[in-house]
Amino acid sequence: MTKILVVDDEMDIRFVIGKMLEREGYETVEADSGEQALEVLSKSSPDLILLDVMMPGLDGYETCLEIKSQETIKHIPVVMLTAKTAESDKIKALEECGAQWHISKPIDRKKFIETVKWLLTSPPRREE
Amino acid sequence: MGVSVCLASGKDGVGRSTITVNLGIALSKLGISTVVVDGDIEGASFGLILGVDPDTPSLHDCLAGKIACEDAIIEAFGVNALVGGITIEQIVDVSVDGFSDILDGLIESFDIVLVDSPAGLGTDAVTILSSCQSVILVLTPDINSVTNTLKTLAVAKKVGTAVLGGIINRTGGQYDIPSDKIEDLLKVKIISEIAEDELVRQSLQEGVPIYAENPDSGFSKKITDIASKLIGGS
Repeated sequence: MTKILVVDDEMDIRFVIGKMLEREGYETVEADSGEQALEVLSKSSPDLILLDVMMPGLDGYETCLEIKSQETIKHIPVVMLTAKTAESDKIKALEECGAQWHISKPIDRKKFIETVKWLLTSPPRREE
Repeated sequence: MGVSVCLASGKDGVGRSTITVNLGIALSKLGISTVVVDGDIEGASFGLILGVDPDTPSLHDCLAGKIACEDAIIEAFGVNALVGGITIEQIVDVSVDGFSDILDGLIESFDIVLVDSPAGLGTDAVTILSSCQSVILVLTPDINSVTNTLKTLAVAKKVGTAVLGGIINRTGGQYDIPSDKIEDLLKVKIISEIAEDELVRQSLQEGVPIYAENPDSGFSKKITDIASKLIGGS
């Protein structure tokens, strides 16, 4: 079963996103911080990571950079899921941190699921 | 009084100049008084696309004060064009400080002034972007182009240039980012998607714009559609 790691410090958001994904048949794993996400990733390898940006401790950008620096997990597509929607925030996520995509909060459920399906099957490829 | 529309891209190789010239021809065919301006100061290509003599008076000559702008405009394939200079001397010596004044003059004489901007966000590109009233973003459906387009978009907003929409060019690849995903990320209306077309490459080699040589090609039909949208025809 396709497994998706949902990282957000807000329990309500993790719950709502988890329910949306489970209704589509995906297995979800939760982490409430960047640190916990890295711990989860040291033990298992999900197919996709949904990562909040504004979290205490390691924020989403720092967590993404850490993920992309580790050979064993850097191939996993990371999606920044955030209310930070300025172009500069998106550039930081996609270019500086190496995330595969950026989804703005609040989430449109239909678009969100479509985007998750696309990222699981054909995530954007970077020029080497 | 006409309007100025800049075609801008975050990186080279997305087909911005080709689209600008052919869009100009399409608008002219629709009866709109149009001039296309090769503002790609360091990488001018209109001469190649239109197959004109390298000695043709250029925007660079106008910027250098060597010739009046109205005397540098040529007519090729039904469109008025201000081509860019291509010699090392022209490129090294040029300053875009006078571009805004040149643009003001062109707006007085034409209904639509289409400006091909340099790629990226160098001084020339930002000067030209900020001089134009509006901008169409040209990109390809890959993550590098999309990310660079975000930068151009941010600068357009900062300098107050209205964003008319985006054109996704050279589509049809196996790993293309879908247009609806790009639209959702950029928060910019995608006004057209144009498939990769071998005839475009062929037209560049021949120095005859594809819109003039193959008006029924898929590329040309898309250009007609964009022209119609630009003038509010559909």
